[in-house]
Amino acid sequence: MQTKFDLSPDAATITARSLAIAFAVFAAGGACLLVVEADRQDGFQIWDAFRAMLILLTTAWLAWGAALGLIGLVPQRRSRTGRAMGSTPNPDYRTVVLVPICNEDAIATFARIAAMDHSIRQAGLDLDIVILSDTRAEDKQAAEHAAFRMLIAETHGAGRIYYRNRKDNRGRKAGNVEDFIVKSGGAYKYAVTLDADSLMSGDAFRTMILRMDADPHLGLLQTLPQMTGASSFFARALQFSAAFHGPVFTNGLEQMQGAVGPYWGHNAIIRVDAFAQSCCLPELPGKAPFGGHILSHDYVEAALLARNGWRVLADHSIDGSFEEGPENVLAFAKRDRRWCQGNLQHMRLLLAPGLANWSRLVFVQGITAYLVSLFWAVFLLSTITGAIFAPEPDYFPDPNQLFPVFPSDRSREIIALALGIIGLLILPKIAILVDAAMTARTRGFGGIARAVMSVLTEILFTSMLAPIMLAYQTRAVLQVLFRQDGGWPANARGEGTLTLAQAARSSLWIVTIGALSLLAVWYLAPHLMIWLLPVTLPMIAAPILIAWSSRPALQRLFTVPEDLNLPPVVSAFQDIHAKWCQQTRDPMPVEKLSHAAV
Amino acid sequence: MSETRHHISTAMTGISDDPSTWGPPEAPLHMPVQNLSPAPVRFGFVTHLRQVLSGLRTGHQREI
Repeated sequence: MQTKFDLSPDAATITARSLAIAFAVFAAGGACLLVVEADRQDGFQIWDAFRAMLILLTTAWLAWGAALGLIGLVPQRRSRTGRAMGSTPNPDYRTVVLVPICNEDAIATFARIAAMDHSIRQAGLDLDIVILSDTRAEDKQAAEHAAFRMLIAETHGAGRIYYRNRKDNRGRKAGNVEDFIVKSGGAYKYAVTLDADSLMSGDAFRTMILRMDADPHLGLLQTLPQMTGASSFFARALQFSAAFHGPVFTNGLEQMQGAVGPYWGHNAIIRVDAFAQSCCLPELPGKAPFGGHILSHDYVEAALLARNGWRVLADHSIDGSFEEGPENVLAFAKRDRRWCQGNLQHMRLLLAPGLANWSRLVFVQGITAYLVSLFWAVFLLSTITGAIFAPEPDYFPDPNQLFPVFPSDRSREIIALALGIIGLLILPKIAILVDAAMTARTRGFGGIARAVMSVLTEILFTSMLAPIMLAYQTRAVLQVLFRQDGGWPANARGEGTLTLAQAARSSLWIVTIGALSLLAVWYLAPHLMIWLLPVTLPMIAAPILIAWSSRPALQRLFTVPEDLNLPPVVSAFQDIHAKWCQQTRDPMPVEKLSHAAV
Repeated sequence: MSETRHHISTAMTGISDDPSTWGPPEAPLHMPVQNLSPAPVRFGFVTHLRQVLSGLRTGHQREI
């Protein structure tokens, strides 16, 4: 076992954390005071104290996110590597690329691996690739076997590209990787973990390996994968946001995390012996959703590496790391349901022994990210209920009073609160836009005018979607809290356009809640109508929004650097994928395929 | 897809026709299961009460 590296935060990390905490406390305190002030005018009751607490928590969360974005605009001063990187990887250290899969589209997954293998060899690297299949369905296994043969024929990869299918799917993805490390991990110094939809360039692999070589205390290095292959309006908005805002927010995160960084489960490199020493996860006692396998294993693995003194870092500046994303709101909500259950399960781990305080805070953040939707929903509900059941104003509180006392107008406080919350949501995005225009980063996004148009459209679109996502997240949280296990189904990759009927089937309950709320407020508290329209109208229009945003978008909007210069590894994947699809539709005779493979 | 499989021969790929042989070579590594159970919080109520009330040092006994 290595001597434990001191993971105490340095001065820059402490400053970044202090600024973020101060900003969150200041913003949350201000919002809370506004609510208290507004409620005090007609008598402060216990009900009002509850609402003030909810607004305190929700605003603190928003302000914490805004602080990440604002701190991320400040360039990092410290060296990323800590010490000088070499130019070639240490030849004594073997690296393996792990691709855990389960019920994936075999052609697309193996075509990505073929493209990465080409890029790896072009970069002069000698890496093994292992496909770790947990697929149980026989037809899908057969498809994987056929695709593996195509992969080996395409890459001549026999002896360096491997495939194994696990009979026992214990521990799901984390168990799949553990199984490899226990059986074959001794042959490798480093392992790059990928998802089925990951793509990485040879240069990215090289940079990651050199970073690990340069820092023997570095247990895990996480890259920031950029979304690729988006075609629908929803996916392109998501892709643009990830490319434009993502690096800045991640830079903020890097400055706050110190050496106790995140692991997002893929597009990262791990030191195999550190991982083996630290990351075999136990099953939690009890039944799912809170017991059983640890679902969001990546956060836990990062915390356990740090517990054993290994540095865990993220670096947004490593280019050539890609992933695909959900194509529509329903696929996004389905993935979010899984993540919700996984993050809420971390409540069981908050008091695990020996964890760094920052690791515990990361768990709290992951839990809060979902609970905050429930808090907003309860806040809205309590505001409506409070308005409906508010006592009639007493214009003559004094029996001998000559002139009536009118209740004071609370609009000023409510407008200030609304503007403050909108500001917290928009301010970081506008600041990132201004910074990108000043540093010419907008060039990669089609120029200043197109970037401005994309940012404004993305803000408008996400504002309209926010009540719908709030409804899905609130339902997910309630399902988990009521111990309903959502399982861990395969990702819905490549799910494309939705019809209005499909969208309506999955969102009818949201329409019903929105319409009933609007009717109730119109009838019982009409003065609240104007404030609730931004929430209820998108809920009522949910099927239209969901179906419309799943349709293909114009390339001019949400332009990202990959649209202007398609990375070679992505281009290679598209070519190989198209070729294999053609071959499987119209199987070629052996002789012809033999030439094609060469 | 299953049709395609028959068109890619073993000779072309250099791998066996049996998928169970396509796995990586074995090189075992020990992976100890981690402890994530919170340590039981032992709050010696009576002990602390005695400290508060009488000022007796009952925690670590030192030889004088």
